[in-house]
Amino acid sequence: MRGASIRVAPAVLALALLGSAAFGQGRETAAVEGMAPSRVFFEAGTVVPAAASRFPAVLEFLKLEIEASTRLVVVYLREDADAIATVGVSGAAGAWTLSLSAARRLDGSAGPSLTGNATELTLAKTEAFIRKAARALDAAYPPVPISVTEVVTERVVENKEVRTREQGTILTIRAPEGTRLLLEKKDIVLIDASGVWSLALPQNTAFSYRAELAGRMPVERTLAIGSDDLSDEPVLEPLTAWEAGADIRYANLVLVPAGAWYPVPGRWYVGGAIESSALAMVGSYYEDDKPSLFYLDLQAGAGYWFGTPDQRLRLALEGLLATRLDVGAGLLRFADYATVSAMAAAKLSWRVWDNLSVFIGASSRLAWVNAPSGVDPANLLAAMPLGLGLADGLFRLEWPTFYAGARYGL
Amino acid sequence: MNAATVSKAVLLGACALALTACNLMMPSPMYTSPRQDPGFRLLSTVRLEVKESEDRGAIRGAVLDGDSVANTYKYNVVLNQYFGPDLAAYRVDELGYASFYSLQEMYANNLDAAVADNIGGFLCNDNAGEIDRVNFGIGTTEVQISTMESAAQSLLSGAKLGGVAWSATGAFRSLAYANGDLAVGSHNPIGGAMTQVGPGPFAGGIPAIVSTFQTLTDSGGGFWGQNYIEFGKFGFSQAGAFSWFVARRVDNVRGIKEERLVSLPDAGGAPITSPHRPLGTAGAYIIAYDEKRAPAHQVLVLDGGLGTRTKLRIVGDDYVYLGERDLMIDAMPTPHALFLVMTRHRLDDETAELYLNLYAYPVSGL
Repeated sequence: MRGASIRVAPAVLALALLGSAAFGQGRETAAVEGMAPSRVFFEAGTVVPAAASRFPAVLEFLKLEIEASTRLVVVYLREDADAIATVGVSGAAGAWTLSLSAARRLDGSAGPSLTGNATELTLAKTEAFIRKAARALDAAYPPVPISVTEVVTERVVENKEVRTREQGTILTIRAPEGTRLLLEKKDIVLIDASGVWSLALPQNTAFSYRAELAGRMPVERTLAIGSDDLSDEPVLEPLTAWEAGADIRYANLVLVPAGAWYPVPGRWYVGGAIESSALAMVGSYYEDDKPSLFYLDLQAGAGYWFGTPDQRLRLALEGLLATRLDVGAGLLRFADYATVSAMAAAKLSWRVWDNLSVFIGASSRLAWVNAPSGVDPANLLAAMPLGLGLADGLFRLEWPTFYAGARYGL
Repeated sequence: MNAATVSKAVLLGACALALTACNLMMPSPMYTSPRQDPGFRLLSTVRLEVKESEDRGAIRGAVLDGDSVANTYKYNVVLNQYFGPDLAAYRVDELGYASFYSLQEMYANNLDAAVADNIGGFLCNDNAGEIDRVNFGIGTTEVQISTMESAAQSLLSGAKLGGVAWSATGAFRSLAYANGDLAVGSHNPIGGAMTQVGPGPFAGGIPAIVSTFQTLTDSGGGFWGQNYIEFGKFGFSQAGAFSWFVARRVDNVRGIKEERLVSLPDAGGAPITSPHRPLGTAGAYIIAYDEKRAPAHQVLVLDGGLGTRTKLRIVGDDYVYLGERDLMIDAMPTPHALFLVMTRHRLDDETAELYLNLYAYPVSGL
């Protein structure tokens, strides 16, 4: 018996290997088709000694049939199996009884159980049993849909990574924390403390973005994406915090020195200006009537620029408080007209180049008329500014005046 | 007309309105009534529009007007504007209403030494050595100047009248001079008997004054003669117990004029001189100045010794000191010094407007 087994074993092993190569379907294939086959491990049950020599061959034939004609997969490690099929032989020569019982490995739930008779333990005599057993097992353990399994997941992830590296490139943008990246389709990215932001892009394309950071000149970039990873670091030039310049106001072309400081460069500013009739290039007086008294208007306030610093045209609104002085030989004192006044102005600025801009503006003033006792405030001046007297002349709302100017960032 | 056309028209109209309504020209600090320092009180304001085809509109002179009410602050202002051979003059009442009249040029030239009359109008030298009473709307009549001349001679033998002044209290004083001596007499009323002020004449007063001239000097054989001076504005202060006048020398060839302010104390002694230029008297003080410099004119308040007691500031293009009058303050007549302050605003090539503001400053504050 033992000698027969030893003789048969190489042949069975050869058949098994051949069967695996010729008929075996890889689990990968099934996975590709979307279903995973159930896996069966075969073990010998009760085998009467008289059948021991022939039984391994019968068992191998059964495995071959399983691989060839069912959706099952035979595995050779018990722990890999979904189901355990136990095959046994009883009876005696001429009246063999073959039996098969199956159970799920994990929970031990019983599967199909069947028997068959054969007069000889040959392929021809046991074929009916083998086919019957194969069908029973196939029916009992059909392929199952691929669920999340460790193996499948790993392969899927691995495939994706491979495809990414083969078809795209990584763009890395380095910018200071707080930088806003305005991407295509109006997506906005805020650079965090790491100062780095990355994006996978298709190869051989172009990528445009705009980088903005408070206090810096925005940058617009268009990058050619090739086949290699790319790094870009936009240069966000700091905006000037100080600016100086002058306005030309009124038809008298009054030269008004002005300056500003930007707590938030490019956006908020506080500033001041000095307006004086003494700096009028065109006097509104006759040469032989040159006035002995001039006004000095000291203005301070704050403003806000709309838009972005790289825009050519920008609009600003500003509010100012002003005090006015009378200045003449031997005289320097608060003026009676516009002793204190509030001003509102709007400026439309055009950036000529980097730090130089010119603008036109309009301003209006609400002036306090501090008329001396006995003087009609509506006639305080020989030529009152055009406007509307309010509160019995205590205040005067001046109609707007237009002006132009230039500023240079220091 | 479609909607686009209408909207364009509206926009154009709005722009045109904005331009016409906007302030194209810079503001001009030409005050109609400039603020003065604390203590000044604005009494009246008058606006005069003058043509400037030939002469620049300016104040030629001003003098307070007398009235039946002694403490009126009506005043007469003469402009540098000819109206035929005469000059344009206005009498401005307490409410600021101006009445036009014309004034002979000889009076206009001597307004610097004119004084208010206690009847109505003012007293002014007529260039003929006489003083006329100029009455607004009435004409001119001579004051009894001959009587005054005679009275002056009673103080100094052969004296001439160097000046006459009238105070707010109705007292007159006159200045007589002869042979280098000076004497001050008082009259009440004008034309009445003259009384010597002080212990006696200021013997040798004129040479003493002449010696203080800095530019137009001589040693006796010069152009003017050793004892020669011209007499200018004359005034006096009863409260301060002194008289004052302007001693003047003029070199018409070189176009040089030099003036000395002279104070003659009632108590006698040597005349006191100063280079300041007197404007008039207020209380116990002389109102004077050194130069007019707009817009802030410095006015000096001098005591009888011609020392500077205090300074005032008058803000305006020009000003004139009118004299002293009582104002009713808390129902009490209170002496005030009256200043006429002018501001000027040119309207076009030929027209200007003058704002004349009468300010009062309490004499007690001087």
